[in-house]
Amino acid sequence: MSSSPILELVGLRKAYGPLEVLRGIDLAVRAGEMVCVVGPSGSGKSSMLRCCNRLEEPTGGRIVVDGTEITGGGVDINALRQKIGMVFQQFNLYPHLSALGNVTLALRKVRGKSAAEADALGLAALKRVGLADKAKIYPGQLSGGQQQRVAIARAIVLQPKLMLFDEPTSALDPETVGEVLKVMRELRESGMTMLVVTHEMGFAREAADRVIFMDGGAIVEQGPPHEIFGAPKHERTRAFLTRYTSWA
Amino acid sequence: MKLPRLCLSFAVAALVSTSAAAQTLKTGVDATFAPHAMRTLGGQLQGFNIDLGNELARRLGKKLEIEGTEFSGLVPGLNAGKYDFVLAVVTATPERAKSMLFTEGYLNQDFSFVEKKSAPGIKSLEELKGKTIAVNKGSAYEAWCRDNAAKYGFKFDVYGTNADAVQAVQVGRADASLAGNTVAGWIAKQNPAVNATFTISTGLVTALAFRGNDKAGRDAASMALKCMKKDGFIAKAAQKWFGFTPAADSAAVVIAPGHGVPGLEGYDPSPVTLKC
Amino acid sequence: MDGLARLLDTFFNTEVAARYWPDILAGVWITIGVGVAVTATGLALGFALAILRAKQTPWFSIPIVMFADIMRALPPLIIIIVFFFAFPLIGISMSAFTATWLSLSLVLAAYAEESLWGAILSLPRGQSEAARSTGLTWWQTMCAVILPQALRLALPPLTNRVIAVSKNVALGSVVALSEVLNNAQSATSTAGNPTPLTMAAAAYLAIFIPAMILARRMENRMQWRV
Repeated sequence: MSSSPILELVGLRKAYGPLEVLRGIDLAVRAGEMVCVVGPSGSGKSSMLRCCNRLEEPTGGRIVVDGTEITGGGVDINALRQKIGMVFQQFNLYPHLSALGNVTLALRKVRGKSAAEADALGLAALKRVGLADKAKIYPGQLSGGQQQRVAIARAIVLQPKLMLFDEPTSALDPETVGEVLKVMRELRESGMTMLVVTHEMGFAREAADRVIFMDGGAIVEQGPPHEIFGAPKHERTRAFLTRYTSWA
Repeated sequence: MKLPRLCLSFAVAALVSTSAAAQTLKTGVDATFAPHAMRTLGGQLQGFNIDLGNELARRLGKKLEIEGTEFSGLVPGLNAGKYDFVLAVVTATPERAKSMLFTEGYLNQDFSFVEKKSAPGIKSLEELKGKTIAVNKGSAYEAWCRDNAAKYGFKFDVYGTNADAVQAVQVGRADASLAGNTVAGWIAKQNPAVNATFTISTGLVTALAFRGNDKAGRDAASMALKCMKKDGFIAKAAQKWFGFTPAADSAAVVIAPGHGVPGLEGYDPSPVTLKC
Repeated sequence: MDGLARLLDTFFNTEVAARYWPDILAGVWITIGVGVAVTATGLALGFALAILRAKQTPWFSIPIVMFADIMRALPPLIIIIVFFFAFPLIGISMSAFTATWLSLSLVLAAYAEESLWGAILSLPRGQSEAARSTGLTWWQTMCAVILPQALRLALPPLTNRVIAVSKNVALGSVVALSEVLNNAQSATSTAGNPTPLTMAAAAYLAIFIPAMILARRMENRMQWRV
């Protein structure tokens, strides 16, 4: 395991006109680490995540992914995005393609794989998330949890160096949340580097290597879960966690 | 579009039979056909055929309603009972006589070509080879083109109005347009960009057209026409609108025997005593 | 039944029909020819413009929006007349076929562009975000993810528009295009009998009723598979 971080945010800023959403974020995620980001809505968690693969454009600062500065000029963003997998709150599966079609699209278009090669790799990814038998099924006929797992398979099939999760379980029924968290745990066990924005405190507490609490566009505090959840240093952290853990 | 209007007229005609003793005669003209029928600046209709129609109605003791419309809509309108007769310039041809009843002729029909002033000018029909002629849709000139295109080797395009046909010549989409000599003369007088050139004598006449089964209407109008010729009305109107006095042997002067155009279907040769 | 006999003789005269059916048939080929050409170029141009507009550069978007608004606001007849009668004055002369085809193509393109653009806009942003985040380029995303979905949304309402614009081929008669209606009107005047118009009506039914059945079938097929 190399010691240089897979993801580095240096002084990351994002503003919409006069509204500052990110006020200078410094963050480093090492290879194999799972970092969970928690905080109230409007704290800038999603914006920060979406800047990491430039779905949103930072207005200041630098982002370095696997040694390449992605915010620099002359960067091939499409090539870089293959190294970063993203999973969305709303799954965003392509409704006109089957589960296997969803997973293999990028393999065929971007990696130029033949249909047979792509299908083989796609089926393997679906197997990892426990949905190999649903390969030919269309998203419209899958449950929310199944759709999210297909979305995870779609991201991991490209063998990214880093996975970004934007509130992956917030749109799911409570019964299906568990199956998605299970897949995420297995991913972490296999050594994937993960940055997860989530409201699932229980999951963050027992699966994360590091928890980051954000509020008002800045990182308020970060540390191992037992520290953040057990002995938060800041008043704002404490206030936030009380709201959440009162019925945890 | 003609079709919806035709269907509506069709329905009306089917329900309402011949409206007998009507005090108003309804007719139609192409109102862009100077000097036979055209609009004043105030939107009123004027022209040779307008004067003809008004005088005819006066002699028949009826009011006249004239509608300005596209020429090719007139025959369907007549058949549907929308018009009692067609006042527009209609050349009496054998083919048309199969479906319509004509009065005798009131003008001789000669055809003239209208060309751009800058053109060398057609001097004989042989020179038509390879040229494009613009004509008014459904007119006798179109029929002439249809019959002679192969013989003289020219192409022809049909336009909704005579004005469009002349416009086509001016923008270079056609080499010449073909129209009656009275019309061609008027156009050449009004439009400095074009000239009336070669004239074809056809031996045909212009007459008023009635529905095929309206012998009573045709005969009444025919009588009025004869009286108008006797009084010299038509000759005077020709002088006023065309600038020439018709020859003594032309259709505008000669009162034909019987009702209709001699030699065509629908002609009634039984002798007629003039009642004016 | 004298009334019925007169009706048949006036509108269904077999002798007149026998004389003029070649003219009507010739007009049918022209109408179909222009209609098919207009559909092909109109849809192709309209979709291309919508895709260009999706690039979201003002250099493209502003002229495209102006084009779509102008072409949908102007009566097609005026556009045909301008192309045929006015353009020669600036040195561009075109045949009746070209003027009619060009005008109606531009009109259909405007409607097609608006239709596809509306469909593209209606898709969730997440679709293109997900595709781009797997490394697909803008163009690959458009072809593989956006267009397959947007076209399925845009085409059913467009079938009505295609049929309406194709019927407008009859406007070409104003510039002497020898399509069905024009030929029928000529024949009617030359014969002094409106039977050719009845034949033209029958021809329109023969052309457009199959088109409508085809359109309905396509609509059903696309809705079913969403």
